[in-house]
Amino acid sequence: MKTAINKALLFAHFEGRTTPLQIELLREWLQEADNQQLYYGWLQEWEQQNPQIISDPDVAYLKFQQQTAGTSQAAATPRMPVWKQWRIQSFFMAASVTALVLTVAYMTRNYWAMRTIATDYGEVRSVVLPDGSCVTLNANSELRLSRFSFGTLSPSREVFLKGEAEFAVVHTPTHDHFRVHTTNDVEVVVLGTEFVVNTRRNNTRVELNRGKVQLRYPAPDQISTLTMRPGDWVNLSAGGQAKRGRVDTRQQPATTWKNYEYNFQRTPMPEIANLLADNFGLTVQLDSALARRKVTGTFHAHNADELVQALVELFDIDVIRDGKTIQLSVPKSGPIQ
Amino acid sequence: MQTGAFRKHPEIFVKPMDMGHSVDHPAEEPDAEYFIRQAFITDPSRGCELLFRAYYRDLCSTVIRFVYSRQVTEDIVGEVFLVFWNNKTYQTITTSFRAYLFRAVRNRAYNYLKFELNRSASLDLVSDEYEPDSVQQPDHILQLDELLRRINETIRTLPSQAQRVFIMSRFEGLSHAEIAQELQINHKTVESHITRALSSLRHLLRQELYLLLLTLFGVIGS
Repeated sequence: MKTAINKALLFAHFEGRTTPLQIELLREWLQEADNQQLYYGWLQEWEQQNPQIISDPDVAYLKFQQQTAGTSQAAATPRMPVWKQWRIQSFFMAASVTALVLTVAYMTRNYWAMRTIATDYGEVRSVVLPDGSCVTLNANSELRLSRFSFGTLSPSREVFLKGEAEFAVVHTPTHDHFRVHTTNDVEVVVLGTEFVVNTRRNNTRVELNRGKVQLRYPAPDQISTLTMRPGDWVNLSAGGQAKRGRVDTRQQPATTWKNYEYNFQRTPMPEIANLLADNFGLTVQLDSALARRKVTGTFHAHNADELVQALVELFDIDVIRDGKTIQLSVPKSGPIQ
Repeated sequence: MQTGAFRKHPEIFVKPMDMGHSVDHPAEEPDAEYFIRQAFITDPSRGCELLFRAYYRDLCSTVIRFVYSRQVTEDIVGEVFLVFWNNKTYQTITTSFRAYLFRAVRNRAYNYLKFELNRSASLDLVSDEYEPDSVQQPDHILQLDELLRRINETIRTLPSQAQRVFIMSRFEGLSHAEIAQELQINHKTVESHITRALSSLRHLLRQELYLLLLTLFGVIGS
């Protein structure tokens, strides 16, 4: 034989007494298919000389016969791999279907899990929530709340507001908080009270009529909290700046819009233009002279036309209306108030 | 030529296993299974019985070195024969029956160990239902030898009482309570001995799996 591999070496190998170099020789020797045959031949011989267990082939053969008797030769496919494969395949199928369903459910959760109450331009609507609280939505506003958990799970009186609304929150026996989330991450936490929230134009304005509320808003490096007392108003701009003040008692309350009333106290015209845009969806263009004007007075208007008409009568201004766009300007020659 | 004589007059030689010349004349080795092969051609079930009786004991001896359990050993060897019979491997085999059977039981024992000691590894099992005529990787053969050597070493280095407890539990299939009674030791001690032995085996297996991964990447990389 060419190599130094013989039975004695293999026996030493089976006993674990070969050196790494000898193992390398074996590795090379085992490349040959014939040598592998020889390897197993010697392995058997070694096992014959070093039995580890006294087993009874007769008993085992009887058992084997019983097993083969059950399976006909035709059913040659081994059962184990088949059910293994089937199990793995069905596992992956079930897993992917579940993942798909969950993903779709998660992506569409705003449709099925949230109840949305929205008002159109020029529409004011009152709703009673499942917990008995009353919400009056101003025009072009949207309130979303959970369909399932609102009022049933304990910290769950949560609503999401876009636009403007008045809340009359009822107090629950368990002192559950009522939370209003606004578009710019400001949170109003309430125990039971009446207040107005306006989230238009990246500002959040809260005006408290009765009771007590807590405001939480993102400041540059932390979440700030602020507790309001009745008659307070707080204005939060997008940058996290809070402005706070007392409501002038002589002034009309902030919710005159509930009765389709518009109450202006030295209100700049651009603000009124914003109001027209927010509540009625109109684009208002003002000329520079008009933009400096301020308006005082109470107007009653069910729609944009009525309000614009009132302004026209007040200022004697020109109106050019084109669909949803209104141009207001001071007449060139006419006297200005 | 002696080999030719075998072929022409098989009935002269009653027990081919007793030839024993394989060491000096390796080339004649395959003919030790001549009768079994002939039997498979004329009557497969008779051939299977011959094969079973010829190798069962030695296969069990080799498997138990891996799994250290009589019951598991008998199951593994039995399953290999069942697969051999159900797939009619004897019709397609080109290696010797012996090489096929030893290789199959060793792979199956290895898979069992991996499955038992490291259940998460059950997906990368080495197939024991390989093509019968494929040539095995020498690395894999040697890796199994190395694993055996280290299992042996691991169990030998256990404290003698732990060794006894482990073997009584695995090999003889005694319950913890029976072992505690027989060795006159605490039930808790038995449990801790077994836990310790199994955890060192598990540790060993994990190293082996790591090596296997390395060789796999080595094969791909080369």
